[in-house]
Amino acid sequence: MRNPTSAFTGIVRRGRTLSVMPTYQCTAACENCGTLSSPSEKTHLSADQVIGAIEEAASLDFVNVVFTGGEPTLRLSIVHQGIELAKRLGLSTRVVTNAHWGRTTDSANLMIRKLCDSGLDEINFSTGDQHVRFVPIEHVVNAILATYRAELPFHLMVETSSTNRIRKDHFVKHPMLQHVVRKLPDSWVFESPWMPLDPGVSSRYDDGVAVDSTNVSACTGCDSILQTIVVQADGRIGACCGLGMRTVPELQVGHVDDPAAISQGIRRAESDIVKIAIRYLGTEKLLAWASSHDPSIDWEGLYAHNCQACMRIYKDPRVREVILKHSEELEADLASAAVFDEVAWPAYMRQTTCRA
Amino acid sequence: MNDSYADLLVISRPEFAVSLRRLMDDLQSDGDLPSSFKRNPFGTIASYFSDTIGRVSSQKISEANRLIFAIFSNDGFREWAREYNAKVAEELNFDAPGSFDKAAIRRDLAEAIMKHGDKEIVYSLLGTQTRSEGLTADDMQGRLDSVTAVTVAVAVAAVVAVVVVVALVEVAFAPPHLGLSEISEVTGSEMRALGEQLIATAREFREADEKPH
Repeated sequence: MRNPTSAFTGIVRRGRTLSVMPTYQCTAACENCGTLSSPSEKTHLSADQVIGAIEEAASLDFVNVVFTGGEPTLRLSIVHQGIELAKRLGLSTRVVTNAHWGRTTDSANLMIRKLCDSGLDEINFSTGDQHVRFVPIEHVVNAILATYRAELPFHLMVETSSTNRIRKDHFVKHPMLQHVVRKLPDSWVFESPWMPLDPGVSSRYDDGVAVDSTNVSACTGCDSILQTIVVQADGRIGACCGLGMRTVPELQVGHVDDPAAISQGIRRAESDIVKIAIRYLGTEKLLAWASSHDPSIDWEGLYAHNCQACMRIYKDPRVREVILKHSEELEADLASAAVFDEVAWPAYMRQTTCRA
Repeated sequence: MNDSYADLLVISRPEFAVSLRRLMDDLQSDGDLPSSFKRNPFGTIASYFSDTIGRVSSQKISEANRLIFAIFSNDGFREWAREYNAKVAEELNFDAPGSFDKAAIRRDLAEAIMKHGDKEIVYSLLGTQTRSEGLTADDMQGRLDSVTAVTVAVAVAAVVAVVVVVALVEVAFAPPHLGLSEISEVTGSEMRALGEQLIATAREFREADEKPH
């Protein structure tokens, strides 16, 4: 399981992210959880598996490690070990958590202090209508305050749809967070569309949020696939950190116990035209293109989250058939898009920055 | 024939990935992009995929990708655009669309495109029927004129398109409504999406202009 030491370059040239799910277990059981996590899930990684993955990622010039799940703080010892190792190897670190541990000011301060002592660089909190059924807002507020006092960078993600009660404003206007808001305005909190895992089910979103022919040109490629490599709690290597990835066999590209698991997983993933199309064309545009071949493929107004559009690509037999039959016509644009994103645009940015 | 894992939507094309990595390695080998690539990006790209018999050919590149490459690979046009953007920013008043000299901007753009040899930009914006015509500056301006003739709204859109084009090459001067705050935050994927929006907008106004009045 030790990592190779030879130089490695792939198609993706920006620094990659290793996402580690120490466990699928969570204190919450949100409907449509993107990782199918719940309190009854017991699957978890061993410390050796986490350490091996981080060591290989460092040898492949990954730039950061994200601990997520499930709820990663349920495997706190492994998270601490992972953060300390990543720091020693020059990787920045982030934890994504539901803040269940913020029951009191003291418990929140204790957790943040421990994470900072390990060397954590950033923390992200997840909340919203689904989450608050299990983790009260007050716990999240305590966690935010502890983080703010410790001067640890943080972000808050609020799952949202047009019918959700909990919105970003709940936090921006929260009386206990006003001094935070005055200092940081609202750059630390953002809303993210909550998506059903079933691509045949549409959620309701605010006007203009779901993608249709009037706004699809503004959609970008998926910046997670091929860039974020995930070691899931069951050891499988995933080619992206997308919601529902666990349920898509095509997105599984190896196992953490395989020799050179991560580099081989990347090679396997980057050899797949479908994954390249998702990265550089994007899921919504890929659906729109498929629909141009088969008008029975409806897509407009259905999806606000690119991961749900991705689920549709992999699960709708009509979309699959179009892609298998006509993918060759995409290759020219995929090659030029990849070259622009990975080489030409960064080169131009360097020139512009130098001139300034 | 594509190889795919049985029952899985995986189209394994390792040769495509190998060619793409080799191309990227060669483009990055010297620090700056090779001048041959800047002169003919799509010909360069296609040459690395010769084993796939025309799948990746320059004729199959989309309008949006052509536009974005044309802008960024042309040093002369970018330099002109940077200087022109400062001039347009001073003269252009978004609150009073009739207050700018549309004809002058179209003429300046036409001359710049002819001078710097990049017709791809106007082809992408105006959707000319053929790329093989030997266009003069007057032809070019005529094409620009024909698109932006009738309504104030269309004329505004055409000028906005020009400003967006020049903004794309000097993002530090991007109009606020584009929402581009820091050049370091803008990814290549976002720039390509901007290019697609520009093409989509130009297409809408061409179609509006072609409707009987």
